[in-house]
Amino acid sequence: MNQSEALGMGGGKGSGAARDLKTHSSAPEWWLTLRSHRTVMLGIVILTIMVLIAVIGPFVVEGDPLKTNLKANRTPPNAEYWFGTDEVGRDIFVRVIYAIRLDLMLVLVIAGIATVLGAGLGLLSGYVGGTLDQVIMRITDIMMAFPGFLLAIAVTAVLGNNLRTVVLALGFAYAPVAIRLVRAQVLTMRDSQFVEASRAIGTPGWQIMSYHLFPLTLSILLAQASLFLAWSVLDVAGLSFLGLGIRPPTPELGSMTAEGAEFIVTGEWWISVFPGLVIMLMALAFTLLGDGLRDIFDPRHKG
Amino acid sequence: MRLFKFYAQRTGLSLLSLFGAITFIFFLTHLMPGNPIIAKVTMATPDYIEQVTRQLGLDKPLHEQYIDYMSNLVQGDLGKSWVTNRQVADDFRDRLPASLELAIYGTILSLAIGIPLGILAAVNQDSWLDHITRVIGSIGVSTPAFWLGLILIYFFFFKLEWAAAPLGRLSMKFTSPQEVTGMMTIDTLLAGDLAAFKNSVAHVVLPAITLAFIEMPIILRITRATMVDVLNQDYITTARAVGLPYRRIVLQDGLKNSLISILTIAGLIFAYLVAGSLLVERVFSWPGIGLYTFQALTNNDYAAIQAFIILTTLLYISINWIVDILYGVVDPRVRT
Amino acid sequence: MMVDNNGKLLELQNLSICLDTQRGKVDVVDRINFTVPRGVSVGLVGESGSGKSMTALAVMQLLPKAASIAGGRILFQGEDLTAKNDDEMQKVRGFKISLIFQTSKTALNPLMRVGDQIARVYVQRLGLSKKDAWEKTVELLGAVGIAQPDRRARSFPHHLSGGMAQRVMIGMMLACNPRLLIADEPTTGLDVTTEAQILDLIRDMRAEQGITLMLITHDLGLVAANCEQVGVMHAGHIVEYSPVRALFYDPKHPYTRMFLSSIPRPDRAELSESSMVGQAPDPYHLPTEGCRFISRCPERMERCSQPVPWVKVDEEHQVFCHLYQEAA
Repeated sequence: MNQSEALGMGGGKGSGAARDLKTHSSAPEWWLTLRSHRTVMLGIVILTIMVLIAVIGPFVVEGDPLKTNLKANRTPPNAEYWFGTDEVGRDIFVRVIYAIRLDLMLVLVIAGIATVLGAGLGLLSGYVGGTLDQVIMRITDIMMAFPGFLLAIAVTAVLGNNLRTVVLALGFAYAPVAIRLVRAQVLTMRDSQFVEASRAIGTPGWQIMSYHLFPLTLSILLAQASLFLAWSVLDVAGLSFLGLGIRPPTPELGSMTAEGAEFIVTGEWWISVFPGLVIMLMALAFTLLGDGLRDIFDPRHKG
Repeated sequence: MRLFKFYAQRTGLSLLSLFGAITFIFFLTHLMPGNPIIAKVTMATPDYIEQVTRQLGLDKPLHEQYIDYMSNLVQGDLGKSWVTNRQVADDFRDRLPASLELAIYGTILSLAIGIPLGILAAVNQDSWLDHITRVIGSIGVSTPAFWLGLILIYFFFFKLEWAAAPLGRLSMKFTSPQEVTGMMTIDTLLAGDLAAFKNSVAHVVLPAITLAFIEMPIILRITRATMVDVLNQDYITTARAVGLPYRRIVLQDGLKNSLISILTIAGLIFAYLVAGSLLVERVFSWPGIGLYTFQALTNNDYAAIQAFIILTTLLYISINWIVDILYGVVDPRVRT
Repeated sequence: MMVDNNGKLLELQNLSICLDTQRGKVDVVDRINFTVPRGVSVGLVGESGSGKSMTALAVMQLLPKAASIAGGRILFQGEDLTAKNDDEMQKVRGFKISLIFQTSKTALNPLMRVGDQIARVYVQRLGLSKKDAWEKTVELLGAVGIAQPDRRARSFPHHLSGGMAQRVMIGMMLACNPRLLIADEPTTGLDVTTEAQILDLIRDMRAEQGITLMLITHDLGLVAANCEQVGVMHAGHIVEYSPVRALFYDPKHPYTRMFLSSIPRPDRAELSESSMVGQAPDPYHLPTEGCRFISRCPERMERCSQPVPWVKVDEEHQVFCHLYQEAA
């Protein structure tokens, strides 16, 4: 579990409340607002770099992330090995490049699962109401009782230490936050005249939910998705640091940090520091983006 | 009378959550296809598998297993660790004080930094101070705990040699004091062993800072947000209109009315620290339940892992429950 | 040593207050002049949004963050309050000037006992011991007409009725014997009986302590019953200032006339038909110069978009209108 998650959950204790919602603005306006938030722009810049690295990196950079070279092991950063080499002589810079790609894909899947689940169940729960709503609420209550990180540990310990388990576990663990969020939105809009009218002319429920209600939740959902991405970065890294999920020799930021842990005390800092730094930058980018988006779409939440 | 009803309701909900979570864990483990032992042990002969199956009671029908499971739990039997060959409950009991010590120091540190900064940020909204605290908050929340620990070790142990080696709570050459509180720092002090005391502090300082760094941004944010909210209330204007100095108002009314929210979060964070100690204890080889569980993970010590999950769930739900109760005590409006 | 200002307790000179909103800056109060002579109770009437509450807050220098004084002076006993910083103002508040406002239940800290909230005023501002402060608090609560004051002092604000909460506020604000009491909508939200009681209470306390009252309200009836002088406020301007009788029997400004005719008159058989025409002007699109009543005024002229003169129609009667230019 990471601190960012705790922040979200901490706020959850009282935040089932309705939120005001800005209606769709024309593209230039939101871009201008976005631009005026310097921190958000910083996040976007970092993200763009990361995405670029992830997409073209492996093609541009020469070198094999898995190739070992025992003669050159534990070399500090120099002209040849920009980030130095690790215990078995692998080029850390190259490994970081590949790791960024892997981690980005992973967190996108995880956040995707959480967001989709959240939106779907949140819409259902909020719109249909009744027992279904109550059941879903109780389950989310229980699930929000403890953090995704621990849930993922529990699940991987039992179901097997592989990537799929980790991804699914985290995705499911984050979903309750999105469910709550979407449901709250739906509740404010469910009794609007618009929905009443649609119902009156016989529009089926699923249509109302998908075409009318869902787009209105989109902005806040996106902000939350960004935060999911931030949490995933930290949780996936944390899990692989503990040996769960990704395992060596696959280059992954968390496991790379773990590999370098024992060498810190002997002063070979580069093995852990670079991967960890990238983790932090990624999480920071997503956090800034998510916070910024949340500020824009829901100014009451400021601070 | 209404207060009692409120407490009863909250307690009922907590118990329900606890029950639900534990049941969920049970089903998670027992409904999965495949024999969990086979998944763990590589060199298993059919006889051995059958023996252990019978031993673990896995050949019984599901509902019987469930009853066994629940009755064991209620009696405090968390199973046996096949790594240490002891009762898991005993292992936990031994290691809990270490984790508690760390969590306590971490929480105190983060409150000591987070709350004042949060107040300052709230009172000076939109000033440069406010922006800096926001930046600190964002960075703090994005920093991986394990990485931070490593960085701190590198600077303060390797380079500056101020802190002790990340190898537990006390250097080898010292003998552990008699255990009074379970907190190494206090116990060494109580035993009058100043050298050991200094050493224990040198050991606890880096992991505590690491934990504090994680928790602090959250405290900071919630303090600021709550204070801003409170300071915008009408009763603050009333107090100012009567001519009370603003500084006093901030500390009296502002803090008083913000405290509930802050403490709520602090409580939840404390619970997290004990649980999330997995990472930090691993980095610092701190002999608490986090490290124990980490070793259990590496060794597929199934009972220990399950126990950890159950205990953490229990901890979370308990803290939530305590917080609910505190709400009732602190906020008189809740009682009516 | 107080500089006396010719018997004027409070004087607003060309005061302007600007509000910074999401949609732009608004001149909620534009260069008003207003006087409260010592011992003379003055009312300030206007619709909601006319800027009267902002004026009260400005006097106390308790404007919300988004608002600021954009110009002019506020003279209290000759001293300019706008020149004071918060520490200096803090000495004035409660001691020299007090403010009662309308939302009484939220105006008290819900987590503190009522008695404690009053007692700390005694402790912190008058230096009393905790014990003495509590005694005085109970005394005060009794004086403002709260039954079983020692029990009430121990209760929390949400246990109080609206009327009781208001009494507590009045007590708190009068505890230090200020010279001027500004009451902003003190009885809005209270039922008629309680309203009468509260006003009686204010009147009694005034008489006892020799406090001057500035009553801010939208209710002309209250002004008629409690004030000697009255100013009418519209969209950030004071449009008329006169003795109360003169206002009712000889209103000069068209807005005042319209305002008065909106009150159902019990001495006539039917309700007055000519109630307020149209809506209050949009604060974001106010004319920077000239009269702000221009959109609704039945007697508007060409000249009305020009800067408006402040005309002295009578000894104590002044109007802010072009109609009376010649009479000046």
